[in-house]
Amino acid sequence: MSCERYREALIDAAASGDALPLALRAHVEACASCQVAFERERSLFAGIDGGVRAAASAPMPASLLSAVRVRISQKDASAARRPASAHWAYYAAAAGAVVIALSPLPRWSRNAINTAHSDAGASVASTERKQDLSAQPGLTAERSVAPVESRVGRGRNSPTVMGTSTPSDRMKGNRVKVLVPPDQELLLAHYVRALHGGSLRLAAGDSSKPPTLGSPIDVIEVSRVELLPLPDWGPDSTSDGKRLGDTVNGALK
Amino acid sequence: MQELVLIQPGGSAERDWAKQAEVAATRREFEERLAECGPLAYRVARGVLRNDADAEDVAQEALLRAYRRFDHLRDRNCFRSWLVRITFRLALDRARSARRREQRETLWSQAPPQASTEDLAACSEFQSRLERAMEDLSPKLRLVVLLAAMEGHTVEEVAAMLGVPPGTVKSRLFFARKRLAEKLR
Repeated sequence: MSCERYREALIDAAASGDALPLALRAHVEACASCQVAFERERSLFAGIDGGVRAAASAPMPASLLSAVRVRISQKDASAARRPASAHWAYYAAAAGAVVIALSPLPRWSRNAINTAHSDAGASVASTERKQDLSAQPGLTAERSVAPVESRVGRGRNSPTVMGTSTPSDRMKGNRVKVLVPPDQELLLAHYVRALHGGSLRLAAGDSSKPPTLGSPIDVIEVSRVELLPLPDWGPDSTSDGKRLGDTVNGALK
Repeated sequence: MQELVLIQPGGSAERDWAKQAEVAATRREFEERLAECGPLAYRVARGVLRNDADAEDVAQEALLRAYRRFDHLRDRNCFRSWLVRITFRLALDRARSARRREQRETLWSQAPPQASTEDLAACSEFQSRLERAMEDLSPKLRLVVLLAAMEGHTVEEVAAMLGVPPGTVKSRLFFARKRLAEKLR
């Protein structure tokens, strides 16, 4: 009966791997059957340990690390490409704005637009500016540019005009207009939103030189940016071009 | 010729370069740990799943996830334990879904999955009984047993890996071994 009392203690001792307590050790030394039982338990646990160790030390497949490296490289490459295409939300918003803008406008708002733009004066637009903008930074809005050619698209593919002006410019009738290719309208809308939000700044740089760190950049102050189609776009165009909808007014610093 | 350019404050080129340098540094640091801890991730997954292909999949996923979140790891010395926990969770998820799938398939076919002849040949009687007994252990107990048997980890190291006190590891190890012995006795 005394051996029965020690059996659990023996199993526990073998399971824990600790040294036997004094009382138990004394009993095991005195009792041959308990000594055999204890050895049996110890060999069982040693077998378990060996078996688990064998299972736990399974050799890693050689392909694992190379596969992980490939996937990491793919992930890095896709992350590097992402910035150019991650602004789909902006594009979607801009596209939505364009759709809204292309819907028929109420008569009163067209009249208001006509009135607002009638004093804008002669406007010129071009894809390139032929004057040196860096000579007088900050006065970009007053730069006149080469007259626009008569090639003007119609319909949805017609180029968009980005106009920049200040209130004083408007009074003087000096406005700068920049032709934007039709496939870059959404990008322009994104930039205008960013300009309006202050996360972008307009600057003049020399396009003949690659941008370098620390190169001087002349920041241009633009108080107003408008997105307009070309003047003779559509049957109901105004003298200054039909308003594309979202006129973005932003004082930029 | 001059032209207008749109430039984000702070210089996008400078920021891009800084970002690229940061990514490269992170990649280098991760590479060092990848070679060291890759086998550990695989063995943890293998211990839970007991299947080489699944274990490789899970280890890959765990290492990739660790890379994605490497920047969020404040103490890089904890990488091993962090990776073990990621791998363990993924392996458990995989095991659960595999179990559910197996139950569904069993319901359809009513045919229990048979062990392949390779498996039978590879495993000795004791080893196969031990593996079955291991399968019956709860995941927590199984992980402790595996980690303790792996790479000569001490109780303290296993405790650090699992984020539990050493006493908890000891008791889990004790109960796990006792339960295994009961199954094999």
